[in-house]
Amino acid sequence: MPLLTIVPTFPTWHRPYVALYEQTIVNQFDAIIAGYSGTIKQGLQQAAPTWRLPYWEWATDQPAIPVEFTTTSIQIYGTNGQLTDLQPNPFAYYEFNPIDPSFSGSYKVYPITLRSPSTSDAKAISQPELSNENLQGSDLKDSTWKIFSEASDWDSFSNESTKSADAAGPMGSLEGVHGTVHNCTGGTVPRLFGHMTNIPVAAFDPIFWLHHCQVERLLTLWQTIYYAFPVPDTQPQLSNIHAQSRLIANREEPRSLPKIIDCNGHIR
Amino acid sequence: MVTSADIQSTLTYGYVYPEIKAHPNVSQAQLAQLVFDDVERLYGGTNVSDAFTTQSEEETVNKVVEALGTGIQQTALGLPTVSGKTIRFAKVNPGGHYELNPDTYQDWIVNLAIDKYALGGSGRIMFFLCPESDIPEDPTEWPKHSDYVGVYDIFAYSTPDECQNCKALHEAGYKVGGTVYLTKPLIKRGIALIGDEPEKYLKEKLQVRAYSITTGDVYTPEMLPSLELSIQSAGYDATPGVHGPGRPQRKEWQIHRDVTGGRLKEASTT
Repeated sequence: MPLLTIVPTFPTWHRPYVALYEQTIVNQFDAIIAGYSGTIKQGLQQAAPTWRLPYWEWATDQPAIPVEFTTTSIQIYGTNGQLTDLQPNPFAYYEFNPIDPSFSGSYKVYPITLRSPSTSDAKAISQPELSNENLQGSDLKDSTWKIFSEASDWDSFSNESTKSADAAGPMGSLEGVHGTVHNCTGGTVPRLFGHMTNIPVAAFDPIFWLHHCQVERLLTLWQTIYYAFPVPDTQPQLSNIHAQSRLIANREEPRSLPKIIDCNGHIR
Repeated sequence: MVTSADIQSTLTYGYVYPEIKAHPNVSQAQLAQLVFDDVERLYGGTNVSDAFTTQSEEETVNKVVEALGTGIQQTALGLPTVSGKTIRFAKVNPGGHYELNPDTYQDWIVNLAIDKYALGGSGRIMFFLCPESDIPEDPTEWPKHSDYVGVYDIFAYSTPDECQNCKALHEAGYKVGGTVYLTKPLIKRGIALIGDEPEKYLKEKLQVRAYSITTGDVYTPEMLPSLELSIQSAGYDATPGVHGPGRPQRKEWQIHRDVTGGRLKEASTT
């Protein structure tokens, strides 16, 4: 499978995948809501069409994994309208069933996705406080500001590829900041790292999608600001997948969700 | 197959972000400026140079403190003094003061470029301003070290052979690169941003270490043949212009080849 990193299409390549993930969640709503009744059902029916994938705002002074994604147990309102007993929080981790035999290293034995794992064996637990320390020591707010205030052409903003360190001026990029968040979240202790630190398994961690929604949001804001800067055609071998930049922001109300986005990103 | 050109608009998939929806009925250029202002409110306040844009001397000091961190007044430097558009910072060794204004202010950065697979997977390249002997051997201590000044993260497969495009780009000679800003660490250490002080200081004190999160291997610069470093500095053009919406124009970046010679080891041993 091709992976679009260190190329100009790094940000836009991810856009349909985030949309497809959002749609996959939305497609579960009707079946779930059907189990409810009364005012709860009405409330859910009203809320469902407006639901959008949240983004994880990590470009702050004190970035941290949202508590909704670290709490290991939660209560939810059941179909009878009452709070359930504590149950595992599906946002805290993904449980492999079974573990994919192609996984390597500790991922062969980790039964769930982990962040800053405590050990390299199957008994490992996540240590989100260590991930948060990593995030808070990485100047994410400053790095994000720099890609808005210093990078005004698509190539330097979008991806971290370069031929030389002597390229004039700062080389911070959206892809670079994105990579820091991956490493900090998964864990930075040598040989003891969680899924977000490793490309082949990163997307199994539920926080991956909120992270990429933030990347997608920053892309949108940057495109809106630098609408006048065209996407250069610097890599002919990849030029079939980029074109002139144009204003992406339309002040319309959000439309309703498209009915189907297929696996190739097309709306049907 | 959908292409990037097909999905340049978020409306293709039927959504819009609050920062954009908040500004209806404005021109494209106005929207760009308004969204830039929002982004600056969210993420700005981190540049010392922003202090020159204030309306009062008190605001200027506050901006400097905001950029450097509220603990700066407790350090030996103390608060800077301001007169008009001139900010007077303390310096050490030799002591005294130096003055910055919009014409003399310079940002200092170190750019790096490296083979994306040099660390055998994901890893961290970390920068310090201290004698080499002060850097702990254990990389887990590096982020908490008082002289740690910045990091560049590599998020990568173990080898370029693990994805089709990775291999093609690697064979084409592409590296990955990033930047660590040195301006604030220099000010905090009482190094004047002007004259030859930054070059001298960086030549003596700038250190780089890397480690692979994937393999646990620790690297000094000489163990990473693909690693390139470039120290650069630039101020802002006092003439109003636009870099992006509402931004002053950067002066040309100057490369300070003497600091690293492109490679830190050569510079520190000659």
